[in-house]
Amino acid sequence: METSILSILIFFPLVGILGMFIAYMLKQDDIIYKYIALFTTSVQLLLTAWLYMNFDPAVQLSADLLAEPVKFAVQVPWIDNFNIEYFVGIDGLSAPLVLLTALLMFICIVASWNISKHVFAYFALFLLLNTGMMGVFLSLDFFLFYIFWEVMLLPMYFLIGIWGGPQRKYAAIKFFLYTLFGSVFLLLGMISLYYYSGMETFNLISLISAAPSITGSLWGFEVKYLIWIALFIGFAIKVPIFPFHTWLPLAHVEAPTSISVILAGVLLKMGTYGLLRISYPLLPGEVIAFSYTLAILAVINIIWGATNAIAQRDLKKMVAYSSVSHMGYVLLGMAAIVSSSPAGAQAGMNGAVMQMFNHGVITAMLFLLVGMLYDRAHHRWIVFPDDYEDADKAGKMGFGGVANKMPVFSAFVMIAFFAGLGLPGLSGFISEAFCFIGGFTAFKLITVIGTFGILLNAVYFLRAYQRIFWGDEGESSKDLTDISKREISILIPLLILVIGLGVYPSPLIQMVEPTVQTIIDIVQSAI
Amino acid sequence: MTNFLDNISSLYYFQAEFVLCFGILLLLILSVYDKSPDQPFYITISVLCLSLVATFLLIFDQMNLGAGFKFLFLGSIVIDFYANFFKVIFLLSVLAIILLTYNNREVSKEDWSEYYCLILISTLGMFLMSSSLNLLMIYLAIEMVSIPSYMLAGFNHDDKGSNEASMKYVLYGSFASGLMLFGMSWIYGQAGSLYLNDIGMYMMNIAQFEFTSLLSFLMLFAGFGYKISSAPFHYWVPDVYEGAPSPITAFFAVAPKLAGFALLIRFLYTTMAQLNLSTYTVETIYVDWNLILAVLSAITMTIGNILAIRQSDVKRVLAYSSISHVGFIMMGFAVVSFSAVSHMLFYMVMYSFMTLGAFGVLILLKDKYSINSVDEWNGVGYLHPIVCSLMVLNLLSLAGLPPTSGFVAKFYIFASIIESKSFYWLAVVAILNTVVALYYYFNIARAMFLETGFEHKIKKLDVLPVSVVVVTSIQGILFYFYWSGLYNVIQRLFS
Repeated sequence: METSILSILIFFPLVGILGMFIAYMLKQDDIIYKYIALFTTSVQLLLTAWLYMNFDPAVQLSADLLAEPVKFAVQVPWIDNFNIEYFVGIDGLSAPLVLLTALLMFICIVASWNISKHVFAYFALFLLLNTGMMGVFLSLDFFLFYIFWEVMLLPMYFLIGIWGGPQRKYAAIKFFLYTLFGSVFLLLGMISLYYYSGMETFNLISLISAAPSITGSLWGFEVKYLIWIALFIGFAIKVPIFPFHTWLPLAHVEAPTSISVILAGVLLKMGTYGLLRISYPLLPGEVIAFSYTLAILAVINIIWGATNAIAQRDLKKMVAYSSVSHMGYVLLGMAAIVSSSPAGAQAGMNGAVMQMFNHGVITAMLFLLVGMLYDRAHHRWIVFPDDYEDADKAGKMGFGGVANKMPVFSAFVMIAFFAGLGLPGLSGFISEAFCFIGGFTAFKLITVIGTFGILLNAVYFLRAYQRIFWGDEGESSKDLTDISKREISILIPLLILVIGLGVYPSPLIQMVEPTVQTIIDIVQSAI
Repeated sequence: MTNFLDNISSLYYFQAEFVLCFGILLLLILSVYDKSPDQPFYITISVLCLSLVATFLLIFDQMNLGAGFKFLFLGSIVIDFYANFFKVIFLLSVLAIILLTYNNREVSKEDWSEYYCLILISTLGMFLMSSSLNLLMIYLAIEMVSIPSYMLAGFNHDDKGSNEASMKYVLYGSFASGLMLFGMSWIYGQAGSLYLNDIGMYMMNIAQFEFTSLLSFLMLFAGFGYKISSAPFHYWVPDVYEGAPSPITAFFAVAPKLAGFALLIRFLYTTMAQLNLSTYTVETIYVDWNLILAVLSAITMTIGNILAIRQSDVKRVLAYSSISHVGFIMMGFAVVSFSAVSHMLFYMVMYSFMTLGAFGVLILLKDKYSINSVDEWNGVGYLHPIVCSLMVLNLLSLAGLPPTSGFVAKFYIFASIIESKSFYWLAVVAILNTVVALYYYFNIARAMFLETGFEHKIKKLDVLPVSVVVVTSIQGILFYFYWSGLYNVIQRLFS
């Protein structure tokens, strides 16, 4: 069990797809696909729960498992003549994200229970996406990582393109082209690391010791720096870091609810995860040289995302831009790794990893709630745009007084919004505070500017809440009914996490801290 | 007398070609007596299979003897693993084409024996192309592939487009082969021999720059470039591909192109590169042909991709895509090493599978619904979900995305560029091209699945062509099982 659990986590969804295909051949009723998907993801969730119980935070991954076995990790030679390995393992960096993925996947399957269009294709693509995400978080071989990284694009393209909103085709291809543009640079960086490191290996752990010794220059730049830039472009598009963020609002808004949840909850984390897993340990010198730029980009992300969110009239777009802003906190925390005070670096990095998890939970909740409102009202305008098709409504409030009609729903939204704006006692606060504490020890002025982001976040969240839930009952609010038991049941686990980790964050901190410390040591040693 | 004996003893190693010759004659004779369409079909299938068996027997024979190669017919033909490797690919791809043509309306049943006969003659020519060592033999082999191709392109006699395709093909083809012949005569004038090895010796010994050598090389490249459809000799491709009957387009896109590459690689590495036995590396001699080909590669892939975006006809999209893939394969020429050649061969194998798969779906759908433009494909995915999903897999592979074979092929080509630590600009150009290519490939996927409104009634697809499509497409992900094995085989070709 211990050696095979990670592989089961990755490939079990494929078994689910196979089961669906057999059901398809037997011409079964549509409902069977939903149950197969539900079964697959719940098994996966149980496995991750078991993994969490048995997880040892102090685990340090080693490059050669034969010489030094590591719990859960598997290393098998795969393609001999290119030294490609099937190398999977889990440590404090990937563990929270694996838990998050399994949880959100399960929730999203339940949340998409109403899908009636091409059911087989929808759930099969969803499970394929699942395999890709698990693979990315668990791979320790760059080649394997890259394959899983790209496997996600195809299901995402079709999930946005077939089940999405009015502009879905454009959103789908824009997402696809943008992310591919990033990944091809990642590919160049990957091959360069393979040859320049002198090790001829894709093993991410062996490369930690080999990559810093890369020498040589190209077009007047150091090769190492070019590799860093190539990897950075690849990851930055996924995060997304300004100015590569323009695909995000469109894709998030056009995607169906569950897909938005996955996009914001898991896919965005891959960018920062990639930076922490690959760029940081492999190219510490470049991290230090680049950290100031990264901090500036982080603050631009925070401010830019928040100000854009304020300007939005579409609730979902507002939530999408809030993701841009919140990912900026992660980046600020990551940039703080160069801080001269050890506590500052620790706070920043722990905050960044925790914010990845917490933002995943909070944003998932936000998108689910927006989806629930949209299912009932069939629009999600906070304020109708001035050129709205129905001239009577143009420029008027979209909702109003929803709190009377949907009291339970309003309570959930309130908690989610407060978590989003970083209210103490909820999980978002802890990680954001850590990111800023870390950031302040390293970049004082930039961080001070960044803290305005908190204020701006409060502006759009509170204003949206006020406009939708309070005040006079709007026309769209008349026929609304409160959320069902199924909908409550998928929100409850997220709610527990938001409040639980807000009050008592140490389980999460303990899980990530040792690994984060290792990364800090690697990078700090290059100063 | 020794010459005569040499020729006689060579015949034994020519068994695969003999089987093909026998099949060609049989088909010609039978077409006079018997008009039943199925008979030539089965004959062709069995001839191809027999030839495949003969090729494999030869490979085992050589492996047992230990000798990697054998010169035949006074050294104008060589039988080595390299040639046999290509022969196997030719036979398999032609076999796939024959199966795809089964019951196809674009090739009328009355002409089947003629059609098979032409394809077999062309196959024989490709066999010679992959094994020639003599300029005259090379010229004859290329013509032996080209002339049946001209006829095949115009095979749909009543269709104006098909006739136009044939005409354009003849004009371009004859011009290019004329240039090539001229270049050959110049080379003969300089080196005093038609044998590639002698030319290689001459090139190695010339001391100072001679403009004529460069010029004659460029003229020779006109012939080769036209065969592999590299820029600037690619202009015939879209029109011919569009006009020719679809199965024949698929044939053009794979086998003759690979034959051109087989010949080009052998020519360049025999005449213009020198094997350094101490380090076991190869170096260019005298002419910087790798720089020339790298530039041409960048131009070819960019032209192919940029022009493909604007196409509305699916066949033309695939035609331009095949041009851009030629550019990608040519990237391997930028690096002069055996590993680069193995990467090119790997790419070619994967390319032939994915191209056959994509064309296979196109042939099936065009045959049943007469749909040409991308818009007419709208929503077809919901009528034939499995076949169209396989098409998506092929498109993914053509675009070079993981986890498909197309990605691994591209990965190898990039790897050979970066391994050489030169020509980075080519890698960047290629990378940007990959992104552009995705757009037009997924334009087809968009039409199939994201759009709706396919108005035709569903028709049943034939089992034989569908099975070919399934096999060629599924290998796009199942190749992981034999990836290592295939790579090892390819690497052994040069040791």
